[in-house]
Amino acid sequence: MARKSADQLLTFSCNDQIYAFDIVSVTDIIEVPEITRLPMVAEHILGIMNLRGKVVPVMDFAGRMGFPAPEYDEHSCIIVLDCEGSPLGIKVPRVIDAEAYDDYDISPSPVENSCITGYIQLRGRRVSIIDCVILSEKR
Amino acid sequence: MSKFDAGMESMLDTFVFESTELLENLDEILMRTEDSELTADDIAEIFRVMHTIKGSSAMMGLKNMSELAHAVEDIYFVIRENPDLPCDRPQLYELSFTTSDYLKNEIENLEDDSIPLTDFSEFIERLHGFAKYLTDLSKGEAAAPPPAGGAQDSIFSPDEPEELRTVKVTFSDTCMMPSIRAMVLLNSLGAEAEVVSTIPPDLEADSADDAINAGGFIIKVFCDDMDAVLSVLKDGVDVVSCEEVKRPAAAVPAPEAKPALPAGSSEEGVSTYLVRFEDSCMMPAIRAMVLVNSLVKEGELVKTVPSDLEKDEAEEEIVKNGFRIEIKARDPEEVLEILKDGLNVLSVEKLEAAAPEKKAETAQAAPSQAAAAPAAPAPSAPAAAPKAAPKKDAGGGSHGTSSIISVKLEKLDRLLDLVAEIVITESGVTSSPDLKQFSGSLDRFQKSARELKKLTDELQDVVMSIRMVPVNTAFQKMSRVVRDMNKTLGKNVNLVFVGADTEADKSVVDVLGDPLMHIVRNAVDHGIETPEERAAAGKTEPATVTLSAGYESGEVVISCEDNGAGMDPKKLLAKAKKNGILTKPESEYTDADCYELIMTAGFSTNETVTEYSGRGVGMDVVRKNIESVGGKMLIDSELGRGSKFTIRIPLSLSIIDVLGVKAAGTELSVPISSVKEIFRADQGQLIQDPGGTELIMIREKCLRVIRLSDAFELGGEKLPLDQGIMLYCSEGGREAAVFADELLSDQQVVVKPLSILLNKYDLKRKGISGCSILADGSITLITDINELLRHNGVRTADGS
Repeated sequence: MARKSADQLLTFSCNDQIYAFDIVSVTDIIEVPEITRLPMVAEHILGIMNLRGKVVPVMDFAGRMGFPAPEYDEHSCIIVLDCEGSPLGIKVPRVIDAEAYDDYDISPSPVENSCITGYIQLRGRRVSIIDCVILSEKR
Repeated sequence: MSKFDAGMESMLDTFVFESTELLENLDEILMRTEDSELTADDIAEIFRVMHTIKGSSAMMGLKNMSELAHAVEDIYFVIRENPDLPCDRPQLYELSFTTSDYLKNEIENLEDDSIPLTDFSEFIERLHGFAKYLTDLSKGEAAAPPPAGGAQDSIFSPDEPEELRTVKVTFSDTCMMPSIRAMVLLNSLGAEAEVVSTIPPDLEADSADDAINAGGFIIKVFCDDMDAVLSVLKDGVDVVSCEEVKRPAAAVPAPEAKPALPAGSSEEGVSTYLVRFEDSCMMPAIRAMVLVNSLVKEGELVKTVPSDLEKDEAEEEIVKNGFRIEIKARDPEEVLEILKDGLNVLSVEKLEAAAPEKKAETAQAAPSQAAAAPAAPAPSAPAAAPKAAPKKDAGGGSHGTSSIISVKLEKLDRLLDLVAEIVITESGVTSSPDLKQFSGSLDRFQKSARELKKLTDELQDVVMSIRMVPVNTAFQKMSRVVRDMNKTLGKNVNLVFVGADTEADKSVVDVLGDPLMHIVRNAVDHGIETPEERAAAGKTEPATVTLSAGYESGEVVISCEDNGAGMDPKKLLAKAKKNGILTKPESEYTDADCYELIMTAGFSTNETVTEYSGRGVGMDVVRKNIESVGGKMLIDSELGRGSKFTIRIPLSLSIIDVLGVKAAGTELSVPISSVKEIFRADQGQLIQDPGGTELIMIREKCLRVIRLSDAFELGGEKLPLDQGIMLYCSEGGREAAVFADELLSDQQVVVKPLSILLNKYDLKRKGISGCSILADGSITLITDINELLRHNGVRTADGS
């Protein structure tokens, strides 16, 4: 079945690997704002932030994936995703680009319920495509 | 399958809202008129309510409701036609009130698929019976006067000018009230022609209906465009035919709008379907519209026959010839399935591509249709526009224009959010650090900034006020409650409203409904004595329950006062003792404490359980409801003179007063309503339980100390208890001393819920009810003291 998308991926790097979200689910890319810490939540939930009057939870990408903490600098930012109607901020070390792709080039991941749904070669590098709803731990 | 038509989900909210409002309106009228006169306006209004509900529930596919409303409409139709009919009023009101209750109940259960649609047929039979009784009564009353103007010659008077045209309109036999239809027609003609006279001349006369049925409705007009007049008339509801009558009686027969059925076009990929609806389907045109909507995803709609489903003729045409859809579908089979699934659909057949001869037929049909155009409504838009306008005017005029619109609450909330955001951004702009380098040369900027601030402040006030509604809506429902109880208990209680126009946040008024109902019921059932008892006690004033509303220091104060028997504190105490719900020695109970006992679970003073109260649930539930929204309830009573129940609720539920505190570096907000006292602990007050639990003595009371930093797992160093700040908290019967490092502020905040993505952490149960964005854009977490204490194992005073 054909996936509905604008056929573009937003790629970002984390620990020398490249990951991507379908650009359809990305609503904002913002500088890292002040994040209010939440008690009694998992470590990768950084807290909540104020996005134009909306309170949005923020998740650390590396922490969620179980990676060692990456280096954050002034290029680090928050990608705001729309997870089936609920906004979610994902903190990533660096956003790279929005790149066009072709559905046929994706190799779907055989692992079920993984947040990585498939892999694709873009400019000679392997990009892992992330499913934001699974990432959000909504279910 | 859900109860209503699949395409109608989006309409559900509106339907529920509108119908509920209409039914409340109905109750109000019934209540007002039950013991006085039912005016023509009231009858018309009841009729309109039932008519609207009939129509909208039919649109939703709720046949049972629609039929019920129809049956009631019939009754009021007879009453409207014969307002002086000496009918059985108690029964009429009983039927009307029952209908209102049935409909309300049905609407309430709409979204719950597990409750099937109620079968009202038995009740409808009763209604029909009553309608018949009324009709028979009316026939006996008014001997129908002889129909006027039967012969055609008599419709022309000899001195009529040449330019005066005469039109004869015939209504269908089933038309219930041709005189009303005729009146509507006249209104709709307003823009097209000048009406000189009509036969029958007086449409409001009782005989008008009979005259129209017998001789048709004759209109004499001056007009420029006879075709336009005819087409307006033709468009009227229940109009079977309309024709111009020429003086030498050479009537031009109005050609019936021939439902030309053009065969399916031969275009590639277009499939044609013929849908037939069940005979019982009330509004096939609406059903057809729903079908068309449901096909949007399947392909491009080429055309439908009839083409304009909003026209009145469409109904007839669909009934007669079925409904034809031509669609460029991706998957014709899928379309077939969708059509078959439609509500009230009897059969669907897919027609094969047009044969050549059929095409010829189309070609033939076209000119004949064109010829018919003068009389038949032209389907083209420009012609339809002027017709639609006067018709609408007629409709609007009869309903009275309303200056109120209804808006979804979510939209308002979004607006509120945005305004709050604008206020914050505005202060961000005007106090931007970048402006520092221009200091001294900012006079004009400062002036504009002040102007902007004023405007944004005003904007905020206005938006806040939009959510405010008068408590009247909650009060009005009580008149119904009291009315019903008066019927069954025979207590003749007067219900008086004071300050019903007091406004409170919509959510507050909604919450008030149930508690108020319990209190009012109690007042009538327990409070007010029977007429005999009142007479025996020498009470001459009428039994009265007074509901009043007003403001007091940022709170809405609602009270319910009765002049009944009042409560005896001793009796209450004895009863409480018997039921084993006392929590301290009997001698320590003050009168006020005794009154509060009735709000304790498992308390009921009435010896016998009645239909309305006395089950021992009620007042404790009332208290819980009110406390859950930050309100308080007070009771006062005087034996023999009556009781007064007072509810105090904050003006708005979403805006609360909080204390900002800091614990282990994290800022938290504690609702002030939960805090009784703020103090710094003295070393001497502190106790350490051998198990390690920290305790504090406050005026002979020993309370648990709950460190916010521990409760919320914030870590950090343990501050000695006499160095931080103690909040003596009391909520939902639980009490404890909550310990924070320091007190920061005291402010008003708008509570926002936490994202559903955080649901898995169950923060609400652990004591964080939500968060709030402060004026500087930062976020504060709001604690829920009740949940916090519960989660940390603090028990309530009565041990639960």
